[in-house]
Amino acid sequence: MSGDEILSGSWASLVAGRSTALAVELVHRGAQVVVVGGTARWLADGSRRPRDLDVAVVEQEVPTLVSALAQIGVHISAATVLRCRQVGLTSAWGPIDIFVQEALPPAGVIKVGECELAVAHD
Amino acid sequence: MTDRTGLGPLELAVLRSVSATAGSSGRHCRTTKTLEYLESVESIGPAYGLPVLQDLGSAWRVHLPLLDLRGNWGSVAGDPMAGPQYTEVRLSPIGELALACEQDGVGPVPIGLVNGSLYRGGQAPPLDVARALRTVGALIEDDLIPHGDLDSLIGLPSLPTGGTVQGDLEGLYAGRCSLLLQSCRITREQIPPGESLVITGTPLGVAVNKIGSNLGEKGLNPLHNLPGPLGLLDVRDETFGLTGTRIVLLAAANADLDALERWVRGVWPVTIETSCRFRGGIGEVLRRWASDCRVDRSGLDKLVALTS
Repeated sequence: MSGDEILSGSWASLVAGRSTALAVELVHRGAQVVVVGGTARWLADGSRRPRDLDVAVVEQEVPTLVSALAQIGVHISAATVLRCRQVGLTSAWGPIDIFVQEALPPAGVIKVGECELAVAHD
Repeated sequence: MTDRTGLGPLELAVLRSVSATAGSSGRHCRTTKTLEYLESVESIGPAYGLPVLQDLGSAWRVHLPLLDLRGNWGSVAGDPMAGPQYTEVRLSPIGELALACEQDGVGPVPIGLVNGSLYRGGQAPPLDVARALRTVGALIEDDLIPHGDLDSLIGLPSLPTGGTVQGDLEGLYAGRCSLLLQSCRITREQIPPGESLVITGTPLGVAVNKIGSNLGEKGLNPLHNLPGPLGLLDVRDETFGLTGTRIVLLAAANADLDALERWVRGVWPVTIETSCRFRGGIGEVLRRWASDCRVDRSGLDKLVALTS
């Protein structure tokens, strides 16, 4: 099988980091979240490429997260997030799943550039 | 899904309803009339039926449209469609062939093979029309063509929206569930002040206006923490008509277009990931169609005539 699409460089590397970049943008805007799921595993051990960003947030931090999302063009009300508890959204950095929890999971800090991301332990 | 056309029961119900309401006069029928029939005879409500009508008649959803739509049925840009009281529908020649195949004994027509099921949320990606029909024809003549040769004959999955595909094609054709990356088709044009990037094709199921707005949001908003692409001056969505995708990424005269293209492909949903699969492998799927069409190839020959 041949074709320009096969011969050209892989796009996989271009999309691999976008969920991490989304987390950085949100934290940069004041969101206090813990990265969980596939992106957390990928940041910890470079395992399978994540397809989206999963974040955990406590109820009182939902308004700040909603504000951060609005600044990157993703609009949803805090009331909706609090009512649904689990919400899937999309952004220019790819899909994001938000999980509202009573307490944040145990996490360590991983530095991405100047940004310190809270990343859940497995 | 039927063995004769590869269409699902919902799609066949829609075809029957359009045929019953538009009749054989060749004239379009008001969509509300078809939806009423669909509800009363097939027990499929308008909320379910209308999106199927749109899917089956839109060239930006399927390679082989089964319906001929008139009025505003939405667009590849993501524009909303008009209310069904303002639009009309009738069977396309391929839709008539599909129904004749299902009801009147015309030979099998591999519409499902070509259109795939990705457009309706399934896993089978669409294939190039000419290559798919030619490969089935070749297998009718020679059932012993090796699997590897079939992969070459069928080529890459082909998106009706003009986007391009990368990923584990070997696994896909072997029958494994494979992650494919669909991405935009990006060309280069001389647009003052220099050469610029132009998107002319998109992933299947992605609204063009979403691509334009996300590129603008991510690339031109100076407040983002991570740096945007160097040399991107503007994002212009010039998409017009039903299939005329065109997003211009205006670049500075000294911009590194290779770097800019890499950045563009990293923006969601310029590139999206999709789980795809041909159950049993593409060889098995093709041989099954060839076996069915070998018994009576009247449907296949008619489809070839309609698409060539």
